Amino acid sequence: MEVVRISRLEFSYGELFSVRADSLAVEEGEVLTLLGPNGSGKTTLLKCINALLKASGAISICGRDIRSYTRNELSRAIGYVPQAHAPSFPFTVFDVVLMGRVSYLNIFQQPSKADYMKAEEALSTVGISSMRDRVYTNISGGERQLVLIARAIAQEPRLLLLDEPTAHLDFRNQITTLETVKRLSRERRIGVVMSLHDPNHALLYSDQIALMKGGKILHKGPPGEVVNEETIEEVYGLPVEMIGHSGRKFILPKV
Amino acid sequence: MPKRKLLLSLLILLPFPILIASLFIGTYPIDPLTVLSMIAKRISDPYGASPWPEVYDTIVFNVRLPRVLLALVGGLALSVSGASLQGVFRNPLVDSYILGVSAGAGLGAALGIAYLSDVPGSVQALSFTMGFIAFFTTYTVAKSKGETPTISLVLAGVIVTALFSALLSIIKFFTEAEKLAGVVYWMMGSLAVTGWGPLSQAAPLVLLGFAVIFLMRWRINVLSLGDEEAKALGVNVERDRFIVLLASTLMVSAFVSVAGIIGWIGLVVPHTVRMLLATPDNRVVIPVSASLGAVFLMVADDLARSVVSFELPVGVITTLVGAPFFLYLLKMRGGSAWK
Amino acid sequence: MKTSLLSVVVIAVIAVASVGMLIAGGYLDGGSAVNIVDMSGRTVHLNHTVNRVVILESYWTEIACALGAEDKIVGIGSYVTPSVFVPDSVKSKDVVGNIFSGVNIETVLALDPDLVIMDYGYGKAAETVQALEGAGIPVITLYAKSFDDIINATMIIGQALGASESAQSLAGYMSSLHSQLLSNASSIPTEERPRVLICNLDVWKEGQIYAYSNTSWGNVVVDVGGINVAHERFGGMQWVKVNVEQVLLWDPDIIVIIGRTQPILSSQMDSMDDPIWHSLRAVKEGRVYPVLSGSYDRESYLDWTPRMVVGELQLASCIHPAHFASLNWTSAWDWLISNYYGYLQG
Repeated sequence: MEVVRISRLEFSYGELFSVRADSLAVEEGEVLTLLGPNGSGKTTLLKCINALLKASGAISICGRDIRSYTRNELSRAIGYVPQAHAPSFPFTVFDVVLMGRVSYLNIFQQPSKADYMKAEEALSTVGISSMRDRVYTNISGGERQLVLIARAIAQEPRLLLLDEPTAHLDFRNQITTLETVKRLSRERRIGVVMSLHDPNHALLYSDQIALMKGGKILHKGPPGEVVNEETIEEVYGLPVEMIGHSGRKFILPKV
Repeated sequence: MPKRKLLLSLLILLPFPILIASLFIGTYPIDPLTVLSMIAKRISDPYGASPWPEVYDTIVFNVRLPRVLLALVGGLALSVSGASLQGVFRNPLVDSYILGVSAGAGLGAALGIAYLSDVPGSVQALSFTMGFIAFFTTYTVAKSKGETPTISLVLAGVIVTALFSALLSIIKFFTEAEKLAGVVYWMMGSLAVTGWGPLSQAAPLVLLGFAVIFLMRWRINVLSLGDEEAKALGVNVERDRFIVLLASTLMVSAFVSVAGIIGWIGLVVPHTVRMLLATPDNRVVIPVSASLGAVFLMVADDLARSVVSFELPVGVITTLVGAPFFLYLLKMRGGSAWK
Repeated sequence: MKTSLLSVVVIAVIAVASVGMLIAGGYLDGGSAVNIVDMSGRTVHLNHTVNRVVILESYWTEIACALGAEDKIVGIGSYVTPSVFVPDSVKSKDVVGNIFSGVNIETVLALDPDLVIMDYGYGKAAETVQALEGAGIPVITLYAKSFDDIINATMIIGQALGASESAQSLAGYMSSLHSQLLSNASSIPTEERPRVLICNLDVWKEGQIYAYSNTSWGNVVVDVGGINVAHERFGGMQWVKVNVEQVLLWDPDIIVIIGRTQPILSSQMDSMDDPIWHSLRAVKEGRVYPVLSGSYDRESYLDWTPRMVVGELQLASCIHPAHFASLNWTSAWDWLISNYYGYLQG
């Protein structure tokens, strides 16, 4: 089943910059990576899919037009892990994850026992149950990323959107995060759309890749078809070479 | 954590002993034991003949009790509005008056004093209404393209406060000296009231606003993540924030319209609570702020009526106690309730 | 009868004595160039008879008018216009500002006055005096806190505006009535003196009560044979903010409510319509007296003007109606109207 389908989407910030996507679709359990340099429109496209920005064209989520969703319903279908998260209050990790349940509650409701259990379950699914009582503002960037993923999982979404989940993380944390995303997608049959700017990460963890530049999708398809020396050079404006090692391909800059 | 539960229960129940103790304080010498037996008698046998002079009953139940209850309700209103606005605005320097409510209420009171002094109740009615008008002006000014970013709200609040203060100055300038003194005294804030009238006007509105915010206390946590995140989690940010602001304005305007402007409670109490409980979770911060705010204003008013033999403006006491205490907290904790 | 005979004698003695003292004090100089010592102790030199004067306060304006000098007034303060004891011809003069927000010096200069009369000791008085004197305009500063101050101010204004004789006879009349009242009241034995609360209930914010303690109104209560309850507790303080609990503790025999207008008085009376107030002796016995002060109502007598003496008589008859039955305060006012406030008729 398709969790998201986009056709003829267009969004513009005034006249200076616009983002277009003619056709994109993600199935259950599939990972789509938006790959491209800074300012190529990845974040904008993610926000359009989550209706945080109102784009023209058509987006359907689980076969239904996005405009027919209320904000509540949409947040039960789409989990969103934002970029560069700046927390202002020192909530505990558990409290942050619990907030993922808000779309299941009305304005005057407090979270119930069932919501607590969903939050605990999300923590253990992501594998961070041991962090539950730590203060969110005092943990590392990589841990914070996992907490936000757990919060998105607590939303019980069909579609997970991640905006540069590896930014500002160290080498190990980048891999841990991406492994977690891929595992969740497989285990829970969640469709994933994430933005990355490292082509090697995209190669390792994507089922589909959409290469973006200047607000447009230049190429899309399975990693093996989309990523080669020409397309990467076209998108990043940097001469690269592609090498193979133990059956996998890697992009190296020509320096 | 039974220790924490115990602390929470103590904090929530603290207003009750303070309320009783506040009934002991006043110019008229009635010893605490008599007050206690009068209360016991009232509860056990409300219609039986009272063995005490009639004036004792008047003083304890019609002079002190409504005043102490007004302090309780007012402390609750100001600290809960402060806590909820700080959450919604994600800003530690926000207090109950950030949306221009005090400037509006002050202008309303001044209008009533200067031009409608013949109409009974006009000062309270005008100050309540103008408090709301100031809030709606702030909200409308801040709104653009269907959204009201918090930064615009704070800025609009500053602008509206400045505008309303300027209008207030004009009224002060043109009004005669005696009414001017009336405006100045009104602005200082005082809980000296006669009988149950002011309490019965303010308390239902304050409690209504409090009920709304109390029910939304967990949602305020989500709102404190910021607009976009809260929205992505499924919150109707514009609507929910508006309801919090409205409920807060309702509480503050209702109380200010009968008591005048009393400062610092909305800033000091929620911060103290966050530091004391080491959590920003509004599910506990809001009810404990309500309780400590009530305690703070009751104690401040006890001081206002007992430090010297005449009445001191309670707003001056809350500031004199609140500002240095806040400074102490900041020095001691380096603002750690926020980071 | 014996009392009134005594009164006449006392009045006569005091009138003669006052005039004598005034002559000795140099008030009756008569020459056109005079030196006047004003109430802040400054010596003001006036070269020639003053023909153009600017007066900032309503009470000094009223005294000038009562002394027949209204034609000399060329400018007024903004708080003069609401006074009903100042003729319209004076109210239509240029307004130069007031002591709180300051005076527009250029407006004053444009009026080319020979003299400015104003209060001192509060607001922007000091700056204003400095600016006016810097511009070469003599300034007489006055300030009233007691009955004697009003007499003194009347004499100074009379002397400055060339109406010394009129001022003397007015002051003589006021002094004699005042002394008569004092000596009469002094015969009241302590046990017959009622306990009086003289106060003002804030009509704008319920529950605030301002008791007049050591103020001129508060002291009048003592002068006319009452005990001011606020003195007992707050002695030297002037206006004291108290709460209703303090009033219950005092439980005075008499409550005098002060207000500037009838609506303000009646809303104060309305705010006493509460069970708490009803438990007070004065309220139960119907001994609450609303009394006007200031210059907004023709029936106001308590003010820093010759009307003050009438106000004292009025309070005396509230506090000791039987004792002062022979003192007719309305006739005192009638006498003032026919002799000094003629401009109010017609």
